[in-house]
Amino acid sequence: MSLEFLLKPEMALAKHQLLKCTESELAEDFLKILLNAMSWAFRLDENYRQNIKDFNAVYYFTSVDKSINVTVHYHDSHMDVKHEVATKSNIKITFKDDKALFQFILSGQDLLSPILNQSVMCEGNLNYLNKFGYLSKHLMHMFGL
Amino acid sequence: MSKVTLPDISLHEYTLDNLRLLGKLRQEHFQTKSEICVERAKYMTEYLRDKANHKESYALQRARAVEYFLAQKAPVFFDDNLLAGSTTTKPMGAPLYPEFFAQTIWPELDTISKRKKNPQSISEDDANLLNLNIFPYWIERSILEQAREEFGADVRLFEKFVYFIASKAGTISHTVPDYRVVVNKGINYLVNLAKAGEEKLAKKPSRTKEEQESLNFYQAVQISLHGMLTYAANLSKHAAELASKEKDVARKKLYTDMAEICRNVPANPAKTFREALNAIWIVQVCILAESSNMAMSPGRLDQILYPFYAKDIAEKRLTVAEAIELVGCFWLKLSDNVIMVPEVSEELFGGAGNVPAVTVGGVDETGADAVNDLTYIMLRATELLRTRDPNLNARYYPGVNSKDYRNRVSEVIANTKAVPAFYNDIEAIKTLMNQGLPLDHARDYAVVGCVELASCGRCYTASSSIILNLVTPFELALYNGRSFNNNTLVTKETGDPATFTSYNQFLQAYETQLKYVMENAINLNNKLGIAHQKYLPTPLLSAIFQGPLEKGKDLIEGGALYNSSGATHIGFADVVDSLSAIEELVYIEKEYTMKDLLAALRADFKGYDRLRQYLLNKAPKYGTDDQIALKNSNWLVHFLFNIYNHTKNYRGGNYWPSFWTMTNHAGFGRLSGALPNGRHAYQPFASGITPESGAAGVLTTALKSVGGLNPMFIPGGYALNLKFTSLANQTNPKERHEDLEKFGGYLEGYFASGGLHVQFNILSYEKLMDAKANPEKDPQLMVRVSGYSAYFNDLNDLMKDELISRTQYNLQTGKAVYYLKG
Repeated sequence: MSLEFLLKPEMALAKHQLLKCTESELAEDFLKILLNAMSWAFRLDENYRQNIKDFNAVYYFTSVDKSINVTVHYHDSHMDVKHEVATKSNIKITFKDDKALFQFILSGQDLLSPILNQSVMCEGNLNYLNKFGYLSKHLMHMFGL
Repeated sequence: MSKVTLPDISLHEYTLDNLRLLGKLRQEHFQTKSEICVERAKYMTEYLRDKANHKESYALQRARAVEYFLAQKAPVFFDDNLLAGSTTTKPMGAPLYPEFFAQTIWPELDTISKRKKNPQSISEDDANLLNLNIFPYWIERSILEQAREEFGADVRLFEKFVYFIASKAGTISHTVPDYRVVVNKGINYLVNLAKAGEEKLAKKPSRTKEEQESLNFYQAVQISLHGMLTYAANLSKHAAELASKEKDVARKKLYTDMAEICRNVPANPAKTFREALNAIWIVQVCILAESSNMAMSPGRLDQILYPFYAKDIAEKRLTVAEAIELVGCFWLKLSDNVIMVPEVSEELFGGAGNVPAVTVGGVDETGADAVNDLTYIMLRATELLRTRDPNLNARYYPGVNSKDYRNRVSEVIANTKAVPAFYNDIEAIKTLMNQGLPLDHARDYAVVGCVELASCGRCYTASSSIILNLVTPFELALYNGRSFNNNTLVTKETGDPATFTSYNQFLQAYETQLKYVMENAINLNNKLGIAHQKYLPTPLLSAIFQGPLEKGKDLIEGGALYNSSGATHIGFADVVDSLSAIEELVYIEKEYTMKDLLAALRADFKGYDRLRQYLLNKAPKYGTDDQIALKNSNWLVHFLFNIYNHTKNYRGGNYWPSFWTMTNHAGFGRLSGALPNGRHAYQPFASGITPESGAAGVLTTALKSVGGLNPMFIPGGYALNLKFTSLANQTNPKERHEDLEKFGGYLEGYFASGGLHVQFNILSYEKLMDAKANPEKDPQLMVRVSGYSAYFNDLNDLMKDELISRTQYNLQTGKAVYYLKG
């Protein structure tokens, strides 16, 4: 698997931002950083893009206080990110804050906290969450994080 | 006439030193790491996605998929085991069932090989295959999704994780097939029965909808059994090929023998003990091609196999040593697979094997002593190998089975420190008869998985259908329908307990919340069952059962003679003690108010030490003779039974409540707040139906109070976990015998008071603490968790601590040896 695309400046920046997230207490802007990194990886790496070939799905991320509403639409090997409420989605993920979402998706040191505190809740087909988890963790794996 | 002819039932002359093959295989077994096997997932997906005729019924499509997989299934031989066949392509494999929960490892494909707890290796190629080829097909097709989308299953409480587990999303399995027909009649007999059923219906000029479904069923049975026969033929062919190339004389003979065995079985009746064992094994492997590898329990093998053993011994075709070796080989085959476990489950519930239960002893269908030479051979094999699977269970009928047998089982428990469990035949038989089984069927019971009861090949028990946390409805009652750690309304409001003026008001609130969660779990189980009926019928398993071929109905449609669904419960002792604490502390003695108690719970007892000490040491405790605790423990058992046993499942049977917990009592405890029994937040609950650690200071009283919970109201069975400091470790035979008699005395007393089941850890606090601190000292240390055995090192820290802190009894005094947490 060629990882040359990681040398591109956009990926280097994405990696740096994700690293800062993993090291920070609050994981600020985690969702934005993750989706940005994912988007660049899809554009620059054919292998990573394979993951969304023939994949048609809508993910809706929303914060408990409703200040964040992000819809991610995968289709035709593309990923579109829009800051809007989704009227229909395969899965809706409601999260208390960036830190909770970070722990939930990347299963950091404390995998159980989001479950214990119910700081992340999902509605819909959880298999889509499993796939998103793979996309996220695989990205981290490629970055060596 | 006694079927015990062995001069020494202990069989101590047979050791791993002189049973060299067994010693070698055991060593290899413990050196083998588990790996994910994608073979099943690959071929099932390939067929259903690319080759299936989608105009056919799902029953036929699925049967053809199973046939296709079994025909492609690699006939691998990893070692010198005397039996042919393997569950996966790996020496220790975790097969994947993408229709169930396989996709939960999707996020971990890059990391599962290296994770800290119980890693399961997977190659990069296999990970890519799952990611790009297999999982995408199933993303909308897992059974939970089918139930949710098509049948409107309400999964909201289930997805919160902490209220209950709806196991049908991940498995049904959990049953005991009819292996008697396999060894005595062979698979061709079953194929012919199905063919006759098909032909009878095919002749009809017109068929009702039910008749057409029966016709499809008979066809599906033949198709899937054909797959089994193809696999056996492939094993034979490959064994013959290996024999032709093998230079080593012994190994050449091994392959030649296996080639011949697989030519005969399981297609035809077995002719020898080895053939019978191999027939059962091949059928078990093929059942797991269709059903998940969770608690598929072979049943009463000492009864099923005895005629073959006795004939071979009489005709001098077999020696006792060879019989032990063959049984040991079978035990290692049963241990050749593990369940796939995602990280979050490992964190919460890790350590379980696949729990295939084998049952020995007890009485036969006429009520006569069923213990025979093979019973002792199986005990000896278990004692020598000390593997966590199979989950061996010893039935004991006081007054019919001999005290020698009872003592021998006790000795095996002492030597393995964990197995087998003891079952009281008198209570088990009565309990099953109370569920409508006639006496002879009830007498022929075996254990399923952990502790559940089933008449062999007759009861389709689906015994793990619901795993319900009794504590969360209790918390909902405490916090007016809200969870303990946030203020969102989860169920319905039942009032603020601070305003309640009587215990009955609180009890009613708990009843309301508990019923709400139970109804939710039952409704989801029934919806999942309907989804299984459409998408995941099991014609292969149905053929190995009494009932389906006669009725023309798959097991999932109610084809078995007896149909039930199991609902087990977590947190029994914690809830009973918490109810009792509230009743006495708040409403009888009025020592504290409910408001005080609620404040203490919310603070996790910070600043409330005096109150907590009162709750721990003065409040009534289950496992003692306190009348309030006795009343409340019986109340909870009856409350659950009265709802479940009058509720029908999707197959027309009743729900059977039970109390076994696996490691869920640690997992759910981790997700729950402080309780009025004095328990801190996030700590494990007590296991099974066992009293809380430290609560029951006197063993006989504890046994009496558990025994007093009439098992007729717990038809699904229960797990009582006891710990002794030591048992029969004296080298002096007289003292050793005295220990065994004393141990037997406790057992007899417990059974006389109505006890159904008991299992043991013969390990001290110190030994377990040392094992936790120094895992390399005894990597094979086996412990009894709650219904099954696990290797101590495989358990997470929470579960290890729970085991360490379990009440330990001194055999001589019958008193608890208290554990002081550091």
